[in-house]
Amino acid sequence: MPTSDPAGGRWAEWLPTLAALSAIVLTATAFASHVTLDFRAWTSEDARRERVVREAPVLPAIRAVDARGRNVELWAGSHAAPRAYLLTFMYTRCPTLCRAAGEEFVLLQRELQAAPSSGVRLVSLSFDPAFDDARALAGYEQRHHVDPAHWQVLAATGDRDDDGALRALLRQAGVVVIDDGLGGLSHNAAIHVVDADRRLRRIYDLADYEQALAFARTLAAAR
Amino acid sequence: MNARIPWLAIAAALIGVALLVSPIRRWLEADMARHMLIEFPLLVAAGYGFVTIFPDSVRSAVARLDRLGLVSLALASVSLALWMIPVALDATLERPSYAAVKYASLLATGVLLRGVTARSPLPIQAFFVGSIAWMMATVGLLYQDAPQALCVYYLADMQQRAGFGLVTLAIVGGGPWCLFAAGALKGFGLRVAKARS
Repeated sequence: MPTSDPAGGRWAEWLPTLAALSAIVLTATAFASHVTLDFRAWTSEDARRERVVREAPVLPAIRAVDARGRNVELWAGSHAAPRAYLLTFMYTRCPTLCRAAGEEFVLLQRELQAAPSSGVRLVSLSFDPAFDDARALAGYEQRHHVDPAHWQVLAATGDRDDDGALRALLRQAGVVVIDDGLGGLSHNAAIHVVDADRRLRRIYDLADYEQALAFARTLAAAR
Repeated sequence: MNARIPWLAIAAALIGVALLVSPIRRWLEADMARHMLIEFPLLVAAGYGFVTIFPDSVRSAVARLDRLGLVSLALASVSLALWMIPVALDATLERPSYAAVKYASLLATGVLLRGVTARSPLPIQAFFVGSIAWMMATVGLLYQDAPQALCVYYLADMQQRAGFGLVTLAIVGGGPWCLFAAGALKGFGLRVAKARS
């Protein structure tokens, strides 16, 4: 126990304590504000969405393979150059979120087929090149009745754990892929709206696919 | 100085070395519950043990700085609060600079907490211990109630376990302090009775 009454100490004796307390409170507040982007984002998913709105990061081009086994480059293709993209990251074995994303994309495809000149293209990109070859992609296309005029299904080539292009793309988009402990992969699933300059402009929940399309159409119309 | 002190320093050094070894650190940080419920306390314990190698002048400077234990208990509160924010916890796994801030803040917490029971009156200790336990329990319940994983580097079931562990630690961890407080109050009561007789 204290040997003297500290509260009775002189004012000057309290200065270091008060200074240290102020420093702790100010530093902690500044750090918390920095890491939560001005107290707007408490999870990494919130943070990447906020960061995208602020910075619109450019997503790099990467090599990929399509369902017909052709080597293609993401953002380039045999179709007329789109003016906006709705991109989702997936792997074809995924039983949960990717399946939900696929179903939303089926609905989006219907809307694009009804208005073919909107300049918006759907892209489903697999980050699981070890499993997703042309055959797996073809199966995915068949299950979702993919119309190649509007929807491109690709698998990145390379290894997502290497310091390669795929990892750079995932990092730039803020997508984190981890093993789910059951032989599958866990990842943050969402619809990414990318403009013609490959800038990631917004990220939407899968359930908000109509808002994602509306925003993509706005971007496309502005070109 | 007594015979126990070198063992504390050695234990602290061993903890420090173990956490510097990448496979051990990776194993601890691969699971949310291990990260928060084992690594955090180990870092605080390491800081606590390291104090024994500090010269007396540094220790008395710390005691002068930490009047009533306000600085050490405030640092403990904010350090723990910060690293329970999901985006901050993710950041420590993504960027070495954030990991360094985490290690430094928890080690410093341990350093300052050494001797806090002697410096701080019971009501102040009770306030901070209670608020830290309350905060841990609240965050633990939030982790368990969240409909999805809050951290991108951890799965939802890991988050559930971490949440349960935080609630348990909030309840069980306050136990030793309550025993200490009961002992101190008993001693205080005895002194009052002696003074009156």
